[in-house]
Amino acid sequence: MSGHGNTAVDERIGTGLKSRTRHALSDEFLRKAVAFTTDKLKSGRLQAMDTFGDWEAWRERGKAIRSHTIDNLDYYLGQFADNVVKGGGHVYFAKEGKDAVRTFMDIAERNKAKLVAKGKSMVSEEIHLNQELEKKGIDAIETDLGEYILQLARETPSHLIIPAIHKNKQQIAKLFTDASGEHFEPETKVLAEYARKKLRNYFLEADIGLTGCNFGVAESGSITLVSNEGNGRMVSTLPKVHVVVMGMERLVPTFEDLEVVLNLLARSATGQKLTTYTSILTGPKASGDLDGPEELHVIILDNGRSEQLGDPIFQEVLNCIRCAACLNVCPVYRHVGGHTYGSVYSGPIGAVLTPLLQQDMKEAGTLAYASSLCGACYEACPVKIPLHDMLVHLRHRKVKMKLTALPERVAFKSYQTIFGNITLYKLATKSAYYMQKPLVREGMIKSGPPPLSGWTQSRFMPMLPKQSFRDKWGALQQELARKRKEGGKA
Amino acid sequence: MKVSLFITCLADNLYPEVVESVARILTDYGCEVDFPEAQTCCGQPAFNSGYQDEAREVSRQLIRAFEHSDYVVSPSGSCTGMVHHFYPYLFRDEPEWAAKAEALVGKMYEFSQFLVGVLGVSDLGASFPHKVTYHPSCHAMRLLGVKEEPMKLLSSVADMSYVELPKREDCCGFGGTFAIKMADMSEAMVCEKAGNVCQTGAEVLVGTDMGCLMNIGGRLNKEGKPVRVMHLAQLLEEGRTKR
Amino acid sequence: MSGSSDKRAHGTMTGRDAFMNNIASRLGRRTPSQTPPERPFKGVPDFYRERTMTREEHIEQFMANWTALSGKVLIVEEAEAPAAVAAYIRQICEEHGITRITRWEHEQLIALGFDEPVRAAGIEIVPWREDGADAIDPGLSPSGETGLWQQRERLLRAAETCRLGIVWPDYAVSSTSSLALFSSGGKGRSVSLLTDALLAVFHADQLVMRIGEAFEHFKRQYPDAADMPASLNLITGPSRSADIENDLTIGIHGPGKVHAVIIK
Repeated sequence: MSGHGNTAVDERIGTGLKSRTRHALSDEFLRKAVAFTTDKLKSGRLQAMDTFGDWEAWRERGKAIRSHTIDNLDYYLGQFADNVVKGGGHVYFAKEGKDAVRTFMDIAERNKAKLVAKGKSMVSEEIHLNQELEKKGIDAIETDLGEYILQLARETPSHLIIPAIHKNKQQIAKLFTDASGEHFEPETKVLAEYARKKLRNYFLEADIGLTGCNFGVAESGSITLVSNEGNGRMVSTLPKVHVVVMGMERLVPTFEDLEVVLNLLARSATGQKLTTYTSILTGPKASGDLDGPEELHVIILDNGRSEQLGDPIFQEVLNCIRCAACLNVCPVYRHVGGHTYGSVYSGPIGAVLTPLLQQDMKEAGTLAYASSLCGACYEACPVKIPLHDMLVHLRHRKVKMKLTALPERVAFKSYQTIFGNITLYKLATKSAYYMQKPLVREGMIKSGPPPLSGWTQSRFMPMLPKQSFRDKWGALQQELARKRKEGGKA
Repeated sequence: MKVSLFITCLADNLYPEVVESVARILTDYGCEVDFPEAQTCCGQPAFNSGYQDEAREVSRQLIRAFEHSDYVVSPSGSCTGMVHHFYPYLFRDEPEWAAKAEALVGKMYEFSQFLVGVLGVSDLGASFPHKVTYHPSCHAMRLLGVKEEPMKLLSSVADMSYVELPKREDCCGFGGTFAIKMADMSEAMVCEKAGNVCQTGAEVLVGTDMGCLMNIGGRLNKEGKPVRVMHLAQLLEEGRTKR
Repeated sequence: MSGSSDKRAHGTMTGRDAFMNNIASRLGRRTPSQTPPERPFKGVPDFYRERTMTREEHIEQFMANWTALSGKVLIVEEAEAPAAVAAYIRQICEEHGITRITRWEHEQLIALGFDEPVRAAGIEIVPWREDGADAIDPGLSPSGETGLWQQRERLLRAAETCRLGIVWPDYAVSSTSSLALFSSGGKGRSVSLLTDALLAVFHADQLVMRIGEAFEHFKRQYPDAADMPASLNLITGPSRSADIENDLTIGIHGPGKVHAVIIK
């Protein structure tokens, strides 16, 4: 049992976090699959870094380019939009998800669209486009193999790059069998062959091809799409209308900069030198072209992104290039998988991005606690986003908004009072020695009342010794003085 | 050379012997060691839980305590990391305190970092005839960039058989209040870490941060696994006296 | 050079002002900036840009990378190229039982003159030009239904029934083993996309080290964005997916077999 699409799990992002965690932790297949895949992607990334020269110089350059772009987003986005229009594309600015959905619906209606073939697009997941299309009776087919599997299962992605990371062959064979009426053996080759045939037909018959955008190039108004499967190329080549839905931050200034981020993305995401297909699309088909879409529409989405601009701490989150390297190194993600995060974006980047985009500290903000702050995400990030710091700052925001529990607030106030005053500190640590006594068994604390039980559910706690270092210092000081007199040992 | 011990609240109260080892080793290498008694805690528990105002007030206590020190050395990469990484931020709006915070950052070191980087010592002439594995702590590695130093010290210990911990750079799941607040996630992580420790067949697990070691050791204890858990300073000191 | 398109009709823009003003104001500016920001840096780190290789090393690099991705490479001397390419195409077709292929309408490919010997082996060729499929029956839609596809251009439908596509890339990138393909009339995107197998034929002097060099040529050739080809594709190996239990599957949507002939 994977995902939570068909189980009674609390879907609220924050309130349901713990129950989803337990649910995921009890799913052995999920944990093995996620661990296996993330390990593989992680070692691929490390290998790719090794063969690439000074990785740190690349990261610095990636960060510099992304920061420069975001710092000057008004200029570059304007330039990008102008160039899209010059190239013959239509540009729409959408403040919120629903604006983007409405714009898409208008385009679909004008084209009397019945079938939309979708390339992989996290933004379309973010704005729940499929659900809206379904309401209007328009079929939207996911054509990325992983996304297609999830669509049949009616689930959401649990990884940015490998969306169906949590599904096994048996489950996939059953989904395909149920969808087609044919019987499928759980063999990758057989399943992939079926998907190729089935999805090919959607590519050919679709009225509209819908994609995201990995990078827009400001100096030319080009849309860059990367995909390994080739579905991104299919949906942007075959249907007569190509619609792009992109986050407004997804830009680089020039082709020179594009080279940097393409290298960083492929190497960080899968350890490839370059993704199999990189399509740089400038306008609809040119006159004289014998294929390619006749119309190109580019919907540029804000949806909470502009709120981060100018923020000294969080603006940098817009530098993200969606490579998922932070997911692959995150020990929390490895154990609980993507669905535990309860939103489209998972892992460390999801824990930061979701509360910020949704501007919801109460529920989504709880994700900030789904991290041990180990910093592996920052270390892996190709554009050096300090995600581990941002998580702490999000917790601070939650505190500032008085969204943390009263006992916790009181506890930290007391902490301030006691640890901010040496006399109180000494008094408190002394009394703690006596207070622990009822809990001590065989020199250890093996169970305790909440919140200590959170600790003791999985480990013992050492007891406080009678003498702290502070108590022992006098004797030690004399010993050290003797040592120094003897001239030390070294 | 005058060195002040930043003992950390955790080691002060739970692991005094760790700081004793640090003090003895530093003294042996010619340092004049003192202990500024006004120190309490670096403020990290509050800071990492989002209580920045509370953390700031506790930080002042630490800054004051070390105002007159030349060098400050602590047995924790995490507490040192807190000072290095976040103190300047905490006092960004108070120039006077920001300067004091920067001054503290400039003179504060984690134990292995100080030994190798400042004292230039990597071979303590210790002998430790045991099978040992090592867990690098996240904050020492990633906030302080202390990666090579503990390995340098360990590799010069005689008679020791070192076995690498699988996935050694993965967090053990401690994370301060994370261990309690997200107990299930933390449990999954510490179980994996303890499992990896046992898989090495090591008699001793060594580390540079008592937070991580309390966590992993607590799990090993609960599982009844006979692995001895030691701070690097303890191992080195024991190895020196044995010789 | 081929590939330059006519100026296109401009598109439209909706909802710009409020959106852009908000961004500018968040960034602390009263109105959106119109001045190009200063760029102290641009593009890849210097050490990466400054590497050089000999022609032979380029070929070796390309081969190593391409074959690591399961691609096949044939290297031929200029003089032998026409015969060798024709033979290679026939060999590929024979191996996979292919009876219909498509190719770019590209002067270099035409100059190789493989159409005749390939046709002589009973293989149909659909050249990517307006009348390229006039003699071909594309048959029904793959689904057998009379849907939208049935109403599309004959050439496109015919290409979809071909199982090998042949292109002459504009550049090939040795450090990644990527083919850089600019689109234009005779250089259809579908030719490198819809078939089961792909064959790229190019001269060794078209090899560059970095994708950025291909971009530089692209920009130099089309300084005005409005004139750029509608598509520049970089193809790096066969279509692949790891979406089912992380098993690498080759040929999921695009060509699963990729071949290159390098002419010295």
